[in-house]
Amino acid sequence: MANSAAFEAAQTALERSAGMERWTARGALQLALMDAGLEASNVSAAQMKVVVERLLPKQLQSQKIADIPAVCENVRGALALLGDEPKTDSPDRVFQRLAG
Amino acid sequence: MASVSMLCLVVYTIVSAIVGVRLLVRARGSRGVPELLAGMSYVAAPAVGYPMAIAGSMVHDRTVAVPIYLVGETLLVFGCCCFLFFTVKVFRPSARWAFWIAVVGTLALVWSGVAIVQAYLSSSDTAVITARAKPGLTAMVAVLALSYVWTALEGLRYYRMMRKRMALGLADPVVTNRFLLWTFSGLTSVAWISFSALMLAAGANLATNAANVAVTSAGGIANTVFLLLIFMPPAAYTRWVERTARSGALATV
Repeated sequence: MANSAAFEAAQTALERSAGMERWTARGALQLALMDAGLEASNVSAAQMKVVVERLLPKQLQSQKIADIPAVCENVRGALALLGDEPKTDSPDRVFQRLAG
Repeated sequence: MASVSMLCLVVYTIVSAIVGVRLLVRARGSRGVPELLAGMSYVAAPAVGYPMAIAGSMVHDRTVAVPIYLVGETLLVFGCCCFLFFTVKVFRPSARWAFWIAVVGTLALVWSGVAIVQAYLSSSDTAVITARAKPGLTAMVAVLALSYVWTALEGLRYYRMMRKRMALGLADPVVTNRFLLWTFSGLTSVAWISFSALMLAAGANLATNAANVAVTSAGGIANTVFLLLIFMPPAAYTRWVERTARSGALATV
């Protein structure tokens, strides 16, 4: 399943700023998303920013990453460059429309 | 009992028709496939197909009854197939396994529909039709029960995800509640369909058995309430959900 642009941007920024391996960065983000009840396929940049702020630090601590605030700031910066709306539909957007 | 059952059927039919037509109108504007599938499902199966199939089986003149029954059964199967693909499109749009489950379910529903219609066309004796339709009816009841189990599980999975999002301020409590109602709706359908399956296995006539009529009527009324709360929620209910979510959030601060 293809991941959303926000997830890909966060992963790339995390790899660069924390010096993490591709799959480690992906795993840390996936676990943070799972804690937030979100999916990599349709997470938006706005949702990803909240995850980075509130849940990613805990995952990075368990990976023993140095200077976590700076890493999270870099990831948030990468997300700020994206537009907010993901292109894919999601169940919550559909259920919002159905009663609309 | 028969009049209560008929009243429940009429209420469920009317509400399904209103909800279905609203969704189709919405689909025309948004060009959204989920709205189209859900709209076609509610209009074709509970609003038109099911009542036509019931009416067809009650009419004694076969020249009138056969076309009514044929159209009703076809719409019923079509609506159930749309519902399967709604689940795929909304909850598992990229999963190949989900698509193939819907395809297999569709084929099973079409086969069962054809078998039931063949049984109906083969005789005008109700007892003979019931006996001959049993394999098709069993397959249809099994597929429907499984499809509603799937509906309930997907609704529950997403409801739990939405609860986590709510804790982060990332989800609307009213939309979150809709997934819980969707789960309840699926579970209600599983309950009455499973009861019908047991009655069928025990050799009961589903249309005349008092217990079966009572359970399916209650299920129909419960699903009517869920449909209204999901697709056309009254303002008072929406306010209650928001207020409850706010007080829950405050309690956890």
